[in-house]
Amino acid sequence: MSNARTKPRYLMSAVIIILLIMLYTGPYAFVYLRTATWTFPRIDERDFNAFEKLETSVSQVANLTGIRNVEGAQEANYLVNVGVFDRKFLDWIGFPLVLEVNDFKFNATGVSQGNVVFECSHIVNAFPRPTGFEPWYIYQPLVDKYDDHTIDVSCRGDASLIDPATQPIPITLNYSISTTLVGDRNYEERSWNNSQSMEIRDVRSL
Amino acid sequence: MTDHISEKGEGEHRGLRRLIRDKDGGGWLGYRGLFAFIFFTSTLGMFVYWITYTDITLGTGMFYLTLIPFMVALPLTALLPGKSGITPKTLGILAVLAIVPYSLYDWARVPMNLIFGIPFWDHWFDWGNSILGTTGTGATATGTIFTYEQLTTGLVAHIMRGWGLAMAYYLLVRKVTLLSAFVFSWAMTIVYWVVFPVWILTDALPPWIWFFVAWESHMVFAMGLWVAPKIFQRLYRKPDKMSGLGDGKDSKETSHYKRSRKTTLFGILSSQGFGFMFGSAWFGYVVTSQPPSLYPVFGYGKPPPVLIEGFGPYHWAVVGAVIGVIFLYLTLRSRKASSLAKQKQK
Repeated sequence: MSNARTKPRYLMSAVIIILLIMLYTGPYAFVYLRTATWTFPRIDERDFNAFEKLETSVSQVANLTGIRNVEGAQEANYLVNVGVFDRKFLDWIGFPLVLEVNDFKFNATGVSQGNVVFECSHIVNAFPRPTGFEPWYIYQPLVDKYDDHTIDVSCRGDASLIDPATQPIPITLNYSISTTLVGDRNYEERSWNNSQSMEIRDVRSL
Repeated sequence: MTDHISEKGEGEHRGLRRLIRDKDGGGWLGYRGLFAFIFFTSTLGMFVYWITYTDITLGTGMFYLTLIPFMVALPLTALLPGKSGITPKTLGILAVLAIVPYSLYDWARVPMNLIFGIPFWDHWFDWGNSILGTTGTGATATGTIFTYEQLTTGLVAHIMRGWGLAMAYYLLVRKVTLLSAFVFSWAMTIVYWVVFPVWILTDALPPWIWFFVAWESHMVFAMGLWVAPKIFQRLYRKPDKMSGLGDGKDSKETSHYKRSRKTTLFGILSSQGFGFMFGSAWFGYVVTSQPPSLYPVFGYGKPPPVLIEGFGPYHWAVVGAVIGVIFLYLTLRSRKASSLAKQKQK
């Protein structure tokens, strides 16, 4: 076979081989490129939006649930309702997720006329959320259920500082909340410090 | 385009019998079937991961159901009888051919991402995560699943399955035909349509575009199965070795019977009709069996381009069935006409 005939044949083979390499690698190069320019930025954007829009709430009422003797002193027990709202967010493919709320710490003091009426300190390792392995008909209601989630925090204080006969008892609650919010690719330590007016209600007879 | 099927011109029934059971060990009940199954095992490992709702990790599934069969298969190749039509060299040729279909399959999904926003690599992160064993679902101290490491691992798992399925096809057929490639890809499409919405939460209520992308990419996979031997025939020094996808013996045997272009076209269109029937009915079942999703999962939730008021998925299934029956009839008629013409020639 002459050189003149073999040259175009080898050239054609080389072109085919180059095209094949592009054929093989093209889609995966596309995926990595889109991951860097679309997937990850989209995840980050949605994570941070979810962190941003998350809200906490502390009830305006502390329920007096009991008074008991502890080592000769009267201890009053209260329940304060604390919540985390707007956990639901869409991930990068538009699928609804519930933001992870981990290491949730709530510390508060209820103050009345300069006296600390009660103190609260509560830790939750992780707020509940769907596992992601449920069938859709179970998953979707769980997402809505855990979108806003509240817990009752137990607080204690000296019962002699309040007069249950006087209802309601106005106090000031100074509180701090700290938690770790976990998204798809990012996490953020968030904390809230606030002071609000609230009142104590005696619910022992209810 | 002329497809070669069957063998020795003595009718398809005898060909089909030999395809299943061959005294030389090359049938589906012999080495062909065994090796096709072995190359299918990467998909099998994935099935276990899926149907246990990921309780069994992909790493575990692929260890028991892919790695061990491959370890067994490797020494087994030494025992392959040449008569069976599969030799270690054949396996090597097929391994190169099998890269084309899944590459085209992924190429077909690229525009679907750009146009409709279908994030076709979303599960690659899950698979990578399951194989690498990273715990935690988010960006916890133990790590997020959204890293390049997990994407790459998931990608490799994806390639193994696509390549393995293409290998299984090439091993199962004695001769690559467009029709058999479409039939094989339809089987893959239907498995895909069923498995993802049933066992995978994020795919539980896929919009129509999800079904469409699954269909179009698998059809391109079929084209890839068919076109790959033709591409490599140009590159391979001994084209006759490629034409039979075996030891060359098959190509002689199969060259006597030729399916007409018309029969092939009608056959493919018939498969599209019946596939559309199944897909529409299944879509109707999937979307009506669960509470509607309020979320635009996959793409932008655009409606299908052709919407007719009051014409639901089950109605489209009837349309698909009619198309399927019409083209099946035309296929059979065209095949009969072709046989009569051949008899007259004799």
